Amino acid sequence: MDPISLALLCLAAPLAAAVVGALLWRKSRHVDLVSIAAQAVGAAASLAVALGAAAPVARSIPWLSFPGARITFSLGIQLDALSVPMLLVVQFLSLGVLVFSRWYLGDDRFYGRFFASFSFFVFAMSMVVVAPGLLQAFIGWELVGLGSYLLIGYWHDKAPASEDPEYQAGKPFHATGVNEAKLNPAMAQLKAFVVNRVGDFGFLSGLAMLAWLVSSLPGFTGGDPLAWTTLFVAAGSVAASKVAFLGFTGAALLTLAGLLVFLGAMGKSAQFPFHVWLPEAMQGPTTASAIIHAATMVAAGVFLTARIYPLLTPDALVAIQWVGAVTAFVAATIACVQWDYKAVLAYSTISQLGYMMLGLGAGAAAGGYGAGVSHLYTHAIFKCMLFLGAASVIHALHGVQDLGRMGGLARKMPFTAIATGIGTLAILGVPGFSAFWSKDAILAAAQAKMVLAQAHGAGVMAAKIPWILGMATAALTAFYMSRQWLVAFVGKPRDRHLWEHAHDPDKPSIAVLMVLALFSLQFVWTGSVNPFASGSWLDGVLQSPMAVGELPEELAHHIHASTMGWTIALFFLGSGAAFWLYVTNPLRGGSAATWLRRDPPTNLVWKFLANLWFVDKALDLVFAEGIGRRGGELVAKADLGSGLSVDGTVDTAASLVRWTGRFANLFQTGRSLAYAGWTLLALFGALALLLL
Amino acid sequence: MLLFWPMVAVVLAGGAGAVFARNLVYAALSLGVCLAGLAGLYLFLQAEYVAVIQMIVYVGGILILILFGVMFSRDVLGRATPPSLGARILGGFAATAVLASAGRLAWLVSSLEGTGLSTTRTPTSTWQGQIATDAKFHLGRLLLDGWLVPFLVVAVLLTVVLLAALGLVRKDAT
Amino acid sequence: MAGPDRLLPYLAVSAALFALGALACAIRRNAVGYLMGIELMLNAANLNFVAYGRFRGPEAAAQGQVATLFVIALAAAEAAVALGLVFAVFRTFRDVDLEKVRTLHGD
Repeated sequence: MDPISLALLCLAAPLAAAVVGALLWRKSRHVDLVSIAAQAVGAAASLAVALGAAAPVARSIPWLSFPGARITFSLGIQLDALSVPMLLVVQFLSLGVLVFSRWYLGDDRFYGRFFASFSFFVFAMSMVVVAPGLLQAFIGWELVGLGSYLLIGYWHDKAPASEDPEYQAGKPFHATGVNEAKLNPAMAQLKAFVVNRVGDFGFLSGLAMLAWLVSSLPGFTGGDPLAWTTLFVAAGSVAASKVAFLGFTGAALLTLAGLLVFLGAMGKSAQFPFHVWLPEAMQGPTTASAIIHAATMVAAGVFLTARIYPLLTPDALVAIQWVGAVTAFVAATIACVQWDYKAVLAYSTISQLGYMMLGLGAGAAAGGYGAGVSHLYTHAIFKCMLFLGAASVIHALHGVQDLGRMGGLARKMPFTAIATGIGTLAILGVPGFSAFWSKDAILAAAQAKMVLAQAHGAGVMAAKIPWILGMATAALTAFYMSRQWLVAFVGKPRDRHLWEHAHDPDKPSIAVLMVLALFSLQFVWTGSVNPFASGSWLDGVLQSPMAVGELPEELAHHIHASTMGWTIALFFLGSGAAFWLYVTNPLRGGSAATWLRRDPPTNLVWKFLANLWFVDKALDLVFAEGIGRRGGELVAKADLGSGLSVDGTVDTAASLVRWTGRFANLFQTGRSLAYAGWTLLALFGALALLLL
Repeated sequence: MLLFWPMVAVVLAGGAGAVFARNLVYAALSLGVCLAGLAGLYLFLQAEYVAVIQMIVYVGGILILILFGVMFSRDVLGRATPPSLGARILGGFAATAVLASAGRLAWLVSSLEGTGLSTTRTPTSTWQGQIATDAKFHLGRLLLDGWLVPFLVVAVLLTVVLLAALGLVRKDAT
Repeated sequence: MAGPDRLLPYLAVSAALFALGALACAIRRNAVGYLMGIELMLNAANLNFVAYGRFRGPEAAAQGQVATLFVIALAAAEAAVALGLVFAVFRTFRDVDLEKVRTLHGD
C-alpha cells in the first residue's frame, strides 16, 4: 500500500471507532475493543509508513475555492520528516493508553464513552499531524480541542470539590490555591476550551493574515496559499514586498503573523499565561491526561511551532524563547509545593513544554529546532508513562492523590515503581535516559544562542536570561520530580491502611508501562550505549527545514560538554535536596510544608507558589468575574437604540417562535375533513392561480 | 357516434350520484355505473385493453371493496348527516376552480391548433386502423421494455399492500 | 367504434369528473364516501391519459395506456389500504363519520 493510503488508514480507523463508540457506548461495553482494534490498525499503518517512506510525499484535494482571489484551500496528507515520527508516536502511545484504560476504568459508569471520545481525539490529532497546510491544521486543531473537552469532562456530573465530602476529608491542611467551588470536570472542561479559544483566536488571525499576505504577493499564481510549501516559499519574499497592514510591513508583518499563530500554540501547549487550564484538566481520567496532557494534544502546539519554523523571523523566535523560558521556570516553582500527585505532573508538563519552546526559540543555527523536536518525542513517551504510573498509584489507593498519604509504595507496586523511577530519571536528564539527550540538546541550544549573540554583539541579554532560567528550571525539576518519587515510593508508608491494599495493575497494563520504560532509555534514541556520545540515528529527522550554517565543530563540542557538566551538577543539587528533605531528614514527623509555612521569608515564598503565582486567581477575577459576569449583565441590558436591548431582542425572538407554534397548532384540530379541506384549498387554489 | 354522448351522460350521472346520493349504497352503485361508462369511453378511444382492465379491476374489484366498506359501516349510520356549511363552500370553490382551470386549459390547447404543436383536430380516421393494431403491440413492448422496472415495483407494492391490509384488520392479541 | 375526432370533449368529461370527485371529497362525511371521491378523481386522470395519447399517434397512445394501467393498479392498492384503515377506525370508534373521529389533535 502506498504511504498516503496507509496514513489515511491512520485517520479513518480511529474515526470509525469513534462513530461506532458514539452510537453504541450505552448498549455495549465492547466498544473498548473496537477502539483498541482500530488503534492497532492505525499503529500498524503508521509503522508501515515510517518504515516505508523514503522521501517526503504529499497529496491534497481542493476543497474550498474563492475564484475571485484565485485561492483554493485544500485538504490532504503530507508525510515528511516531521509528521511521520509524530504520527508514529501518536498512534502507538494511543494504543498503549487504550490498553491501559481497560484496566483503569474497569467498571466506570461511562465506560464506553471514554473510548469513543479517545478515538475521536486520536483522529483529530492525526489530522493536525499530517496536515499539508495551515488550514487543515486549524481544522484538526479545533477538533482536538473538542476531543480534549470531551475527555476532561468525562465525569460531567461530578460535584465541585467544595461540595465533595471525600475531597474535603482527604485534602491536607495546607491545601490552597485553587477555587474549590469551581473545581469539577464540568468547569475544567469549560476552562480548557475557553482558554484554548483565546489562543485559537490568535491562530485564526494569523492564518487569515498569512492567507492574505501570501495571495497578495506578486509571485502567487493561484492555489492554496496556506500549503506549507507555498507558505515557506512566499515567506522568503515577504520582506522585500511592499505589502502593508496597519502600519506593519515586510518582516514585521511576518513576525506578527508568526506570533499570532504561535498564540494558538501557547493556548494548546499551556504556555504562560495560558497554562491555567492544564492543572484543572486533571479532573479528567488520568489515562486521558496521559495521552492529551502529556503526549499529544499539548504537543500539538510545539508541533505547530516546529511546522511553521521557516515562517518565524528572528524576532519571533526570541519572543518564543522567552515565553518558553518563563513558562518552564514558573511552572517548575509551582510544582515544588504541590501536594497532589497529578498536579505535580501537570505542572511538570507545563514546564517541559516551556523547555521545548525554549529549544525551538533558540533558532536553527543554534540547533534549537532539533533540540525542541527531540524533546517533544522523548517527553511524549516518558510523560505518558509517568501519567500511567500515576493512574496505577491512584487506582491502587482507591482514588487518593495526596502525596502526604503515600509512602513506601515500591514494596507493594514494584513494576509501577520501576517504570515511574525510570520516567523520573529520564525527566531529570540523567545520562543513560532519553531526556539526557534531548533536554541537554535544549540547554546546549540556549547556550549556543547566547554564544552566537555574543559573536554578533547584539541581543546578548535576551539570550542569556532564557539560558539562566533554563538552568534554574533544571535544578527545580530535579528537586520536585525526585520529591514526588521519593515521597510516594520510598520510606515508611504514611497511611498504613491505604498501603496495605496497594498493588500493581494487571498484566497488559504492566506490559504497556514496561514498553514505555524501554523507550525512555537513551540508547533507543541515540543508537549507541554510550550516553556521552553525540549524534543520533534520528539526526536526519531533526534536521531543521531551513538550511542554516552549522556551529563550528569545536564550539559545538565545547558547548555540549559544558552543558552536560551543568546538567549533572544540577541533577545532584536538586535530587540531593529532595533526598535530604524527604528521606534522610524527614523533619521529625512533620511535613516540609509545615516547616516552610512557619517563618518568613519562606512562608511568603511558599504562599506565593502555593497560590500558583496568583495567575489563576487574577485571570478568574478579571475575566470570569469581571468581564464575564459583569460584562454579560451589561450586554444583556445594553440599549441597541429605540428601546431595544439584547435581552429584549432575544426574548422577542423566542416568543415569536412560541406564537408561531401556537398559530400552527390551531390547524391541528384532528378533524380529517378539515385537513382534507385545507389540502384541497391549497391544491386547487394554486392550480387556479397558475392557469387563470 | 350516436352512442358517444349518451355514454358521457351515463358517466357524469353516475359521478353525480356518487357525490350527492344520501344513501351510500346507492352512491356506491352509482359509482359502479360511472366506472362502467368510463370503460365504454375507453372503447371509443380504441383502448380496448384498458377498458377490459377497467371493468375487471375497478368495477369488479375496487367497487366490490367499496361496497363491502359501505355495508360494513352502514348499520351504525341510519341516514348520512348533511355536510357542514364550510364543507359546501369549500366544495363549491374546489369544483369551480377545477372547472375554470380546465376551461382555461382547453382554451390554451385549442389556441395551439393549426400549429405543429397540437394534433387535437387530426381526424380520428388518420390513425384509427393503426392504433387499433399497433397500439397494443407498443403497449406490450412498453410494459416489458421501458417500463419494466415500474412494472415489477408495482408487483412488489401489491404484495406489500396485501400484507399491510391484512395487518391493519388483524385483531391484536390481548 | 368511432368517437368524436377531437380531444376536447374528452377533456371536458374528465374535467367534470375531476370536479365531481373534488366535490365529493369536500362534502362527504363518511370515510367510504370520501374514498369514492378519490376514485372519481383518479379515473378522471386516467381518461385524460388515454385521451391525450390517442390523439398523438400509436406510440403515444400506448404510453397513455401504460400510464393508465399503472394508475389502476395503484388505485387498487390504495383502495385496499384505505378500506383496511376504515375497518380499523370502525373497530376503535364504532363509527366512520370523519367529523366524529378527531382524537388525533394537537395541544
